[in-house]
Amino acid sequence: MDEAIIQLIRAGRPDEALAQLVPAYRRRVFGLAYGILVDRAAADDVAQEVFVKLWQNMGGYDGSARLSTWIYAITRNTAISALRRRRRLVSLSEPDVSAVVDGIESRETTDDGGEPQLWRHVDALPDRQRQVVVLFYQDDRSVEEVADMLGMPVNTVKTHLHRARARLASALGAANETAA
Amino acid sequence: MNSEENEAMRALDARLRQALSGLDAPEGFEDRLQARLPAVAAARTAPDAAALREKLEREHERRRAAADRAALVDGAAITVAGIGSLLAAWRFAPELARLYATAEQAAGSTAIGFATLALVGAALWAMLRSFDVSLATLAAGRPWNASTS
Repeated sequence: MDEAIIQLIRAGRPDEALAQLVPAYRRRVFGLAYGILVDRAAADDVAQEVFVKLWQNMGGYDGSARLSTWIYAITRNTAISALRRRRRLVSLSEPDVSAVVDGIESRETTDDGGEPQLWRHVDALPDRQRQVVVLFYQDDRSVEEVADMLGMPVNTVKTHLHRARARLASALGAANETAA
Repeated sequence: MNSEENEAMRALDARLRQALSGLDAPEGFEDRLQARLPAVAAARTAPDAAALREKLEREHERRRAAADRAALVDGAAITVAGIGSLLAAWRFAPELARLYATAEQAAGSTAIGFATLALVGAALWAMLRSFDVSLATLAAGRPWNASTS
Protein backbone atom coordinates (compact mmCIF):
# COMPACT_ATOMS: atom_id res chain seq x y z
CA MET A 1 0.00 0.00 0.00
CA ASP A 2 2.72 2.45 1.03
CA GLU A 3 4.68 1.57 -2.10
CA ALA A 4 1.76 2.57 -4.35
CA ILE A 5 1.39 5.87 -2.46
CA ILE A 6 5.13 6.54 -2.74
CA GLN A 7 4.95 5.92 -6.48
CA LEU A 8 2.17 8.50 -6.78
CA ILE A 9 4.15 11.01 -4.71
CA ARG A 10 7.22 10.50 -6.88
CA ALA A 11 5.09 10.88 -9.99
CA GLY A 12 3.96 14.29 -8.71
CA ARG A 13 0.33 13.26 -8.25
CA PRO A 14 -0.41 14.53 -4.72
CA ASP A 15 -4.22 14.47 -5.07
CA GLU A 16 -4.25 10.78 -5.95
CA ALA A 17 -1.66 10.01 -3.28
CA LEU A 18 -3.82 11.79 -0.69
CA ALA A 19 -6.89 9.86 -1.82
CA GLN A 20 -5.07 6.63 -0.93
CA LEU A 21 -3.32 8.03 2.11
CA VAL A 22 -6.44 9.11 4.00
CA PRO A 23 -8.24 5.74 4.21
CA ALA A 24 -4.94 3.96 4.91
CA TYR A 25 -3.80 6.23 7.73
CA ARG A 26 -6.92 8.04 9.04
CA ARG A 27 -7.51 5.77 12.05
CA ARG A 28 -3.84 5.66 12.98
CA VAL A 29 -3.42 9.44 12.70
CA PHE A 30 -6.62 10.02 14.66
CA GLY A 31 -5.66 7.48 17.34
CA LEU A 32 -2.20 8.97 17.73
CA ALA A 33 -3.65 12.48 17.99
CA TYR A 34 -6.32 11.36 20.48
CA GLY A 35 -3.73 9.63 22.67
CA ILE A 36 -1.89 12.93 22.99
CA LEU A 37 -4.86 15.32 23.21
CA VAL A 38 -7.55 13.21 24.96
CA ASP A 39 -10.17 15.18 23.04
CA ARG A 40 -12.03 13.89 19.99
CA ALA A 41 -12.76 17.29 18.44
CA ALA A 42 -9.15 18.41 18.86
CA ALA A 43 -7.90 15.08 17.48
CA ASP A 44 -10.17 15.52 14.47
CA ASP A 45 -8.78 19.02 13.85
CA VAL A 46 -5.22 17.74 14.16
CA ALA A 47 -5.90 14.81 11.83
CA GLN A 48 -7.27 17.22 9.23
CA GLU A 49 -4.25 19.47 9.67
CA VAL A 50 -1.89 16.50 9.33
CA PHE A 51 -3.36 15.40 6.00
CA VAL A 52 -3.28 18.97 4.71
CA LYS A 53 0.40 19.19 5.71
CA LEU A 54 1.12 15.86 4.04
CA TRP A 55 -0.60 17.03 0.86
CA GLN A 56 1.29 20.32 0.89
CA ASN A 57 4.68 18.77 1.59
CA MET A 58 4.58 15.65 -0.53
CA GLY A 59 7.19 17.17 -2.82
CA GLY A 60 9.55 17.25 0.16
CA TYR A 61 9.24 13.54 0.90
CA ASP A 62 12.50 12.05 -0.38
CA GLY A 63 11.90 8.43 0.61
CA SER A 64 14.87 8.30 2.98
CA ALA A 65 12.52 7.45 5.87
CA ARG A 66 9.55 5.10 5.73
CA LEU A 67 6.30 6.77 4.71
CA SER A 68 4.65 5.76 7.98
CA THR A 69 7.56 7.18 10.03
CA TRP A 70 7.20 10.50 8.19
CA ILE A 71 3.43 10.58 8.79
CA TYR A 72 3.71 9.66 12.48
CA ALA A 73 6.37 12.31 13.07
CA ILE A 74 4.16 15.00 11.49
CA THR A 75 1.19 13.77 13.52
CA ARG A 76 3.07 13.81 16.83
CA ASN A 77 4.48 17.29 16.19
CA THR A 78 1.12 18.69 15.11
CA ALA A 79 -0.69 17.17 18.10
CA ILE A 80 1.94 18.40 20.57
CA SER A 81 1.71 21.92 19.09
CA ALA A 82 -2.08 21.80 19.42
CA LEU A 83 -1.76 20.61 23.01
CA ARG A 84 0.60 23.50 23.84
CA ARG A 85 -1.76 26.01 22.23
CA ARG A 86 -4.68 24.61 24.22
CA ARG A 87 -2.76 24.65 27.50
CA ARG A 88 -1.75 28.25 26.86
CA LEU A 89 -5.37 29.18 26.19
CA VAL A 90 -6.63 27.37 29.28
CA SER A 91 -3.91 28.90 31.45
CA LEU A 92 -4.98 32.34 30.22
CA SER A 93 -8.65 31.75 30.94
CA GLU A 94 -10.53 32.01 34.21
CA PRO A 95 -10.45 28.96 36.54
CA ASP A 96 -14.21 28.61 36.11
CA VAL A 97 -13.85 28.44 32.33
CA SER A 98 -11.11 25.79 32.67
CA ALA A 99 -13.42 23.71 34.81
CA VAL A 100 -16.16 23.97 32.20
CA VAL A 101 -13.74 23.00 29.43
CA ASP A 102 -12.51 19.99 31.41
CA GLY A 103 -16.10 18.97 32.04
CA ILE A 104 -16.97 19.15 28.35
CA GLU A 105 -13.89 17.10 27.45
CA SER A 106 -14.63 14.38 29.95
CA ARG A 107 -18.23 14.18 28.75
CA GLU A 108 -17.12 13.94 25.12
CA THR A 109 -15.05 10.87 25.84
CA THR A 110 -17.96 9.11 27.50
CA ASP A 111 -20.15 9.46 24.43
CA ASP A 112 -18.60 6.49 22.70
CA GLY A 113 -18.48 2.75 23.16
CA GLY A 114 -20.91 2.44 26.06
CA GLU A 115 -17.99 2.21 28.50
CA PRO A 116 -17.88 5.61 30.17
CA GLN A 117 -16.10 4.30 33.25
CA LEU A 118 -13.42 2.54 31.21
CA TRP A 119 -12.85 5.63 29.06
CA ARG A 120 -12.53 7.77 32.16
CA HIS A 121 -9.79 5.52 33.51
CA VAL A 122 -8.02 5.31 30.14
CA ASP A 123 -8.07 9.10 29.81
CA ALA A 124 -6.74 9.44 33.36
CA LEU A 125 -3.66 7.29 32.65
CA PRO A 126 -0.26 9.03 32.52
CA ASP A 127 0.39 10.44 29.03
CA ARG A 128 2.74 7.75 27.70
CA GLN A 129 0.69 4.86 29.14
CA ARG A 130 -2.52 6.30 27.66
CA GLN A 131 -0.93 6.74 24.22
CA VAL A 132 0.33 3.15 24.25
CA VAL A 133 -3.02 1.72 25.39
CA VAL A 134 -5.04 3.69 22.82
CA LEU A 135 -2.84 2.66 19.90
CA PHE A 136 -2.37 -0.94 21.05
CA TYR A 137 -6.07 -1.71 21.50
CA GLN A 138 -7.55 0.54 18.80
CA ASP A 139 -6.68 -1.91 16.01
CA ASP A 140 -5.00 -4.77 17.86
CA ARG A 141 -1.61 -3.48 16.83
CA SER A 142 1.69 -5.10 17.70
CA VAL A 143 3.96 -3.43 20.24
CA GLU A 144 6.46 -2.96 17.41
CA GLU A 145 3.97 -0.94 15.41
CA VAL A 146 2.95 1.10 18.46
CA ALA A 147 6.64 1.77 19.14
CA ASP A 148 7.05 2.97 15.55
CA MET A 149 4.02 5.24 15.84
CA LEU A 150 5.17 6.80 19.09
CA GLY A 151 8.85 6.91 18.17
CA MET A 152 9.92 5.01 21.27
CA PRO A 153 11.78 1.70 21.90
CA VAL A 154 9.76 -1.52 21.86
CA ASN A 155 10.73 -2.40 25.43
CA THR A 156 9.53 1.01 26.65
CA VAL A 157 6.19 0.36 24.98
CA LYS A 158 5.98 -3.05 26.67
CA THR A 159 6.73 -1.48 30.05
CA HIS A 160 4.11 1.26 29.60
CA LEU A 161 1.55 -1.29 28.43
CA HIS A 162 2.22 -3.56 31.39
CA ARG A 163 1.92 -0.69 33.88
CA ALA A 164 -1.19 0.70 32.20
CA ARG A 165 -2.97 -2.67 32.28
CA ALA A 166 -2.11 -3.14 35.94
CA ARG A 167 -3.30 0.36 36.75
CA LEU A 168 -6.54 -0.09 34.82
CA ALA A 169 -7.21 -3.50 36.36
CA SER A 170 -6.69 -2.04 39.80
CA ALA A 171 -8.79 1.07 39.12
CA LEU A 172 -11.65 -0.87 37.55
CA GLY A 173 -11.53 -3.50 40.30
CA ALA A 174 -11.73 -0.81 42.95
CA ALA A 175 -14.56 0.91 41.10
CA ASN A 176 -16.49 -2.35 40.82
CA GLU A 177 -16.03 -3.02 44.53
CA THR A 178 -17.28 0.48 45.32
CA ALA A 179 -20.30 -0.04 43.07
CA ALA A 180 -21.03 -3.40 44.68
CA MET B 1 -0.14 -14.42 38.23
CA ASN B 2 -2.83 -17.00 39.01
CA SER B 3 -5.55 -18.16 36.65
CA GLU B 4 -8.13 -15.84 38.19
CA GLU B 5 -5.88 -12.86 37.56
CA ASN B 6 -5.20 -14.09 34.03
CA GLU B 7 -8.92 -14.31 33.43
CA ALA B 8 -9.41 -10.76 34.76
CA MET B 9 -6.64 -9.47 32.47
CA ARG B 10 -8.15 -11.22 29.47
CA ALA B 11 -11.51 -9.65 30.29
CA LEU B 12 -9.86 -6.24 30.60
CA ASP B 13 -8.12 -6.72 27.23
CA ALA B 14 -11.45 -7.61 25.64
CA ARG B 15 -13.16 -4.55 27.13
CA LEU B 16 -10.34 -2.25 25.98
CA ARG B 17 -10.39 -3.76 22.48
CA GLN B 18 -14.16 -3.37 22.30
CA ALA B 19 -14.16 0.21 23.57
CA LEU B 20 -11.16 1.48 21.62
CA SER B 21 -12.01 -0.19 18.31
CA GLY B 22 -14.61 2.53 17.81
CA LEU B 23 -12.03 5.29 18.09
CA ASP B 24 -12.04 6.95 14.69
CA ALA B 25 -12.46 10.34 13.09
CA PRO B 26 -16.07 11.56 12.90
CA GLU B 27 -18.25 10.86 9.86
CA GLY B 28 -17.45 12.94 6.78
CA PHE B 29 -13.75 13.29 7.55
CA GLU B 30 -12.70 12.83 3.91
CA ASP B 31 -15.40 15.19 2.62
CA ARG B 32 -14.35 17.92 5.03
CA LEU B 33 -10.73 17.42 4.05
CA GLN B 34 -11.52 17.60 0.33
CA ALA B 35 -13.58 20.73 0.91
CA ARG B 36 -10.64 22.34 2.70
CA LEU B 37 -7.98 21.70 0.05
CA PRO B 38 -9.01 24.35 -2.55
CA ALA B 39 -8.81 27.05 0.13
CA VAL B 40 -5.41 25.73 1.21
CA ALA B 41 -4.21 25.70 -2.41
CA ALA B 42 -5.41 29.31 -2.88
CA ALA B 43 -3.68 30.35 0.32
CA ARG B 44 -0.42 28.81 -0.92
CA THR B 45 -0.14 31.41 -3.73
CA ALA B 46 -1.07 34.28 -1.42
CA PRO B 47 2.21 34.12 0.54
CA ASP B 48 4.08 34.77 -2.75
CA ALA B 49 2.24 38.07 -3.26
CA ALA B 50 2.59 38.93 0.41
CA ALA B 51 6.30 38.12 0.32
CA LEU B 52 6.79 40.33 -2.75
CA ARG B 53 4.91 43.20 -1.10
CA GLU B 54 6.95 42.75 2.05
CA LYS B 55 10.18 42.76 0.03
CA LEU B 56 9.21 45.98 -1.77
CA GLU B 57 8.25 47.59 1.53
CA ARG B 58 11.60 46.55 3.03
CA GLU B 59 13.43 47.98 0.02
CA HIS B 60 11.47 51.25 0.25
CA GLU B 61 12.18 51.45 3.96
CA ARG B 62 15.89 50.76 3.37
CA ARG B 63 16.09 53.57 0.77
CA ARG B 64 14.22 55.97 3.02
CA ALA B 65 16.59 55.20 5.90
CA ALA B 66 19.60 55.69 3.60
CA ALA B 67 18.21 59.07 2.43
CA ASP B 68 17.62 60.09 6.06
CA ARG B 69 21.19 59.14 6.95
CA ALA B 70 22.58 61.06 3.95
CA ALA B 71 20.51 64.14 4.88
CA LEU B 72 21.79 63.93 8.44
CA VAL B 73 25.42 63.69 7.27
CA ASP B 74 24.91 66.56 4.80
CA GLY B 75 23.32 68.68 7.49
CA ALA B 76 26.16 67.97 9.91
CA ALA B 77 28.76 68.74 7.22
CA ILE B 78 27.10 72.05 6.32
CA THR B 79 26.85 73.01 9.99
CA VAL B 80 30.51 72.17 10.63
CA ALA B 81 31.59 74.03 7.49
CA GLY B 82 29.46 77.05 8.44
CA ILE B 83 30.81 77.18 11.97
CA GLY B 84 34.36 76.70 10.63
CA SER B 85 33.88 79.57 8.18
CA LEU B 86 32.56 81.86 10.90
CA LEU B 87 35.46 80.98 13.20
CA ALA B 88 37.96 81.47 10.39
CA ALA B 89 36.41 84.85 9.48
CA TRP B 90 36.51 85.83 13.15
CA ARG B 91 40.09 84.62 13.55
CA PHE B 92 41.43 86.12 10.30
CA ALA B 93 39.28 89.26 10.16
CA PRO B 94 42.25 91.75 10.26
CA GLU B 95 44.16 89.85 7.55
CA LEU B 96 41.02 89.61 5.40
CA ALA B 97 40.36 93.34 5.84
CA ARG B 98 43.94 94.09 4.79
CA LEU B 99 43.67 91.74 1.82
CA TYR B 100 40.38 93.34 0.76
CA ALA B 101 41.86 96.84 1.04
CA THR B 102 44.93 95.80 -1.01
CA ALA B 103 42.78 94.14 -3.69
CA GLU B 104 40.44 97.13 -3.80
CA GLN B 105 43.36 99.46 -4.31
CA ALA B 106 44.73 97.26 -7.08
CA ALA B 107 41.51 96.30 -8.96
CA GLY B 108 38.80 98.68 -7.82
CA SER B 109 35.64 98.01 -5.81
CA THR B 110 33.51 97.08 -8.88
CA ALA B 111 35.84 94.27 -9.91
CA ILE B 112 35.97 93.02 -6.35
CA GLY B 113 32.13 92.99 -6.24
CA PHE B 114 31.89 91.02 -9.50
CA ALA B 115 34.54 88.57 -8.33
CA THR B 116 32.66 87.99 -5.07
CA LEU B 117 29.40 87.44 -6.95
CA ALA B 118 31.13 85.02 -9.31
CA LEU B 119 32.53 83.01 -6.38
CA VAL B 120 29.13 82.83 -4.67
CA GLY B 121 27.47 81.85 -7.99
CA ALA B 122 30.03 79.09 -8.62
CA ALA B 123 29.54 77.68 -5.11
CA LEU B 124 25.74 77.77 -5.53
CA TRP B 125 25.94 76.03 -8.91
CA ALA B 126 28.21 73.31 -7.53
CA MET B 127 25.71 72.71 -4.75
CA LEU B 128 22.77 72.54 -7.19
CA ARG B 129 24.67 70.07 -9.41
CA SER B 130 25.14 67.81 -6.40
CA PHE B 131 21.32 67.58 -6.30
CA ASP B 132 21.17 66.68 -10.03
CA VAL B 133 19.89 70.09 -11.08
CA SER B 134 20.82 71.08 -14.61
CA LEU B 135 20.10 74.04 -16.84
CA ALA B 136 17.52 71.92 -18.67
CA THR B 137 15.55 71.19 -15.50
CA LEU B 138 15.74 74.85 -14.47
CA ALA B 139 14.48 75.94 -17.91
CA ALA B 140 11.66 73.40 -17.85
CA GLY B 141 10.62 74.59 -14.41
CA ARG B 142 10.44 71.05 -13.05
CA PRO B 143 10.97 70.36 -9.38
CA TRP B 144 14.61 69.60 -8.67
CA ASN B 145 13.90 66.02 -7.49
CA ALA B 146 11.34 65.10 -10.17
CA SER B 147 13.78 62.86 -12.00
CA THR B 148 14.99 61.08 -8.87
CA SER B 149 11.67 60.01 -7.40
